[in-house]
Amino acid sequence: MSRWGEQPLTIDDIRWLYTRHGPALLLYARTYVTHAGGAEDAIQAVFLKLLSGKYFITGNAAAYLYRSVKNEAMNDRRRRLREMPLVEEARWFRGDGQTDGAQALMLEQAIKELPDDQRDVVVMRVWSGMTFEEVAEATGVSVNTAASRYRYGLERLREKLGARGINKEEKR
Amino acid sequence: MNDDERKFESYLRSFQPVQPPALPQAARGAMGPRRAAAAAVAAILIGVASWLAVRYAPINSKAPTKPASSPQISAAALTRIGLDDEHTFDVRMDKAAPVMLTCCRGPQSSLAALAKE
Repeated sequence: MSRWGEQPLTIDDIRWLYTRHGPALLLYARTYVTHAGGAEDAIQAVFLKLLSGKYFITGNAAAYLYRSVKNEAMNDRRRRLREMPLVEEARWFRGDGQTDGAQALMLEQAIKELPDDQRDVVVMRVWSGMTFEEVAEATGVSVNTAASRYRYGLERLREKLGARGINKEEKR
Repeated sequence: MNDDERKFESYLRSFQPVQPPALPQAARGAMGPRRAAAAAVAAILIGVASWLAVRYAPINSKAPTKPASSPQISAAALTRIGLDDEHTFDVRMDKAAPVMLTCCRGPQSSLAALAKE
């Protein structure tokens, strides 16, 4: 995974990061915000800072992005604490025909029910393709802890989806 | 990780997260108010310096000339750099200033000449 030193990223670098991690970062942000637009705002804020050329990424880029998006999402959550959440929440997964819409909703619900630490690792690893080393850097834990959180997270997801009548065989 | 876990992982990956909105158009390319102000100040400084140099050429010709350590750059080019890239602009300004700007110190300087007048 890419690492950058203390120099501004080029616009192409930033676009590449956005394409590579944007969807997973949005999913990740949505697990932290209470407001539908808050997740998008968090990502836009992070990438706008990078585009301004005043902020540098030190270390692993994906880890930096996840940490920054979480900070922004938590700030957004605090700002909107007193607001009522929207009734119509934005969906987390695309309904593009390849995946069943009902299953996507159940997966979304199952992910919401995971403990934060397990959910973080699952999102980073499954949808951003990060290594355990990168996940560890992003979450500030050891590689072993990240790996075991991931395993527990997957187990829980399987149980929850199984309890809702979904499993991988059904998907085929 | 066993086979079962791998299969479940790829099952999860078959669900595609929603795409975020398009990346905001290059904020870096757009000129912010601070950069616009910096570019304007640079252009004015260079303009005034050039005018002073022409206006008081006989007096300034007596002043010790500084060897040009770097190639001269036009005000227009410098302004364009200022609009495009803040960091490069700073570096170029630092290099260009001793060569392009009129000498402001000493008895033969433009300021001294102005003061006499």
